[in-house]
Amino acid sequence: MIEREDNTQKKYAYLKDTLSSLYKKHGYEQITIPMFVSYEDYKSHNLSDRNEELKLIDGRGNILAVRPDATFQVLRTVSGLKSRENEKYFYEAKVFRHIFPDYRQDEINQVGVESFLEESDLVDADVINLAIKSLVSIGIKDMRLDLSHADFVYGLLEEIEEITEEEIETAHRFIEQKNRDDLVGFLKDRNVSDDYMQRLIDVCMLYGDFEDVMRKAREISVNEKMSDALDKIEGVYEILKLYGVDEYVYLDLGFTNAMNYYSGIMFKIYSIDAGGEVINGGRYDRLAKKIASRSGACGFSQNLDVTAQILEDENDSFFSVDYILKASERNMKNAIMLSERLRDRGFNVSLVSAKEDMLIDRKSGREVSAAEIRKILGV
Amino acid sequence: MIKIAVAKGRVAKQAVKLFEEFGITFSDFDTNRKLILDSDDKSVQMVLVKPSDTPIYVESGVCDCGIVGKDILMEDNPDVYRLLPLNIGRCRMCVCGHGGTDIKNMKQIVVASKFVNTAKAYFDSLGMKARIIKINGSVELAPLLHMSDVIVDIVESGKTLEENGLEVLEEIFDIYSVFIVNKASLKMKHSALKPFIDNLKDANERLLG
Repeated sequence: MIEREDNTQKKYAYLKDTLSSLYKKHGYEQITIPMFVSYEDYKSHNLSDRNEELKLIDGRGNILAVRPDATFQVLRTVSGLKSRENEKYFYEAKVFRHIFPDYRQDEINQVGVESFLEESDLVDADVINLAIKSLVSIGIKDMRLDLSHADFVYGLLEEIEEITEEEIETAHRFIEQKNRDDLVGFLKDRNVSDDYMQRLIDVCMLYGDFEDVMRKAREISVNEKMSDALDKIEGVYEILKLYGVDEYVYLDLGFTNAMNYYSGIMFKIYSIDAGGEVINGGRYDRLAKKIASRSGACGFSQNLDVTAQILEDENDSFFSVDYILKASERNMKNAIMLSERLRDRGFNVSLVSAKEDMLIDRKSGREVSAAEIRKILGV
Repeated sequence: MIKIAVAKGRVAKQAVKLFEEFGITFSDFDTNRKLILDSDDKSVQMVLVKPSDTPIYVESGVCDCGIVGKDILMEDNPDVYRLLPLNIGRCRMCVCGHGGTDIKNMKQIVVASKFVNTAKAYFDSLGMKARIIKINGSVELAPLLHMSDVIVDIVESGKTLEENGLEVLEEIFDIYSVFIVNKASLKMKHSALKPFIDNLKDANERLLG
């Protein structure tokens, strides 16, 4: 994936345009989120333990983080707004994370949606459907969505007395990596019973076809918390069938819930061309209550850098200019009039000065004749 | 076609033997200096890489899977699935130094290593303050020239240590190769990868037995 001079800038513009009209069509309103957050405040919510934040020091010596996470900034913004019915927002923003020593990928271009509605199968399915449409609407079909639920693995881990609360993250990390080898070592060191050990090993491999994995998951489930999580996933899946997007939907009950962020359904969308995730999301009621006093929230974010990489390079919709109008000095008045009339017809026109007067169709690169112009204008 | 990144050298030799166990043969292997080799049945493409580079080829998705030492997984912690431990590339991660160095009773320690994260995590776990010096090769030189008290490095036979008058002071963990898979590939190329993974698992167990 070598970076070349290509249509990257045009792709970003196209993605932002296409996705924001898609989100508006689904009843989401655009929101602008702040760039800075008090580092102490951000850290107090334990959203990340990776120390990837880029930091600044203000004039009084306070430490600020530069937008390390968009959802957190949405929550802060929403906390200052009056709560309403059907409160749904989308944003387009950069987030900043210092991951590589050479700063090569510190700026991540993101779009995302957040729906501040109480949990229901329909509300969650609506967000998931929109995530799938975010890729379908820009022509990406080679994708796969994995559904999961925060309570499934936690329900099992909490049942096991030998694993302390502090160790749950470690066990979870091995499950996420599908690393049965280290998981077994970890469980054996703590004398976890063979029955629980087998269930946890099986969870690592609980991915694939929906019906098949759901059946296996039912056998692994040992308590109500786990079976409720499965019921929830099934409820959402039934609605995704009504949306007609179930062909993209699979299960992976092993993926984790970083830092306890999500509290309900969780999902990721993978693309083979991207070599990994493009979208991830889920329900995060606890955070929504704590930071924004909302009864619940569900959303997702989409990485635009990865999305731009997997878009075909040649796509005419990347270009926003329809006509280039070349105008000579003596014919300026007519040229301005013509450009305005074309714009009134809905075309995007770029007016430039030249020696010869000429209207160029950007797509074909050909000159448009006077007769054709009259036809376009309908005169 | 499945693309697999394999560390060139000893691990690649053992991996090719493992693949032969289930009928995936590379007659081109070791006959030339090609870095990309197709299996004779064209079902697998093997990419020979520098050991420490293996995870990035898999994480980025240019290869679907790979075979990499646990030392590198522990040091770099890449975002990949760690599906199978393999019975190849066996050795140990150790603290080494001059005989009689009592590391547990030192207040401060200077450590030279290629594996700076591993070294730091180990001395942190002992509650010791360690200054780590990153060295890229011939790490044994550091204690010999009194640049460091000890080294943290991979020990296979212990021969290099012995010839330089050093010995193993502590073992940190066992190292073996691990079969890793790209997150999107495991899900989206499942029908091609599943039989390969199953065969690899069986072959690995047969070689163990």
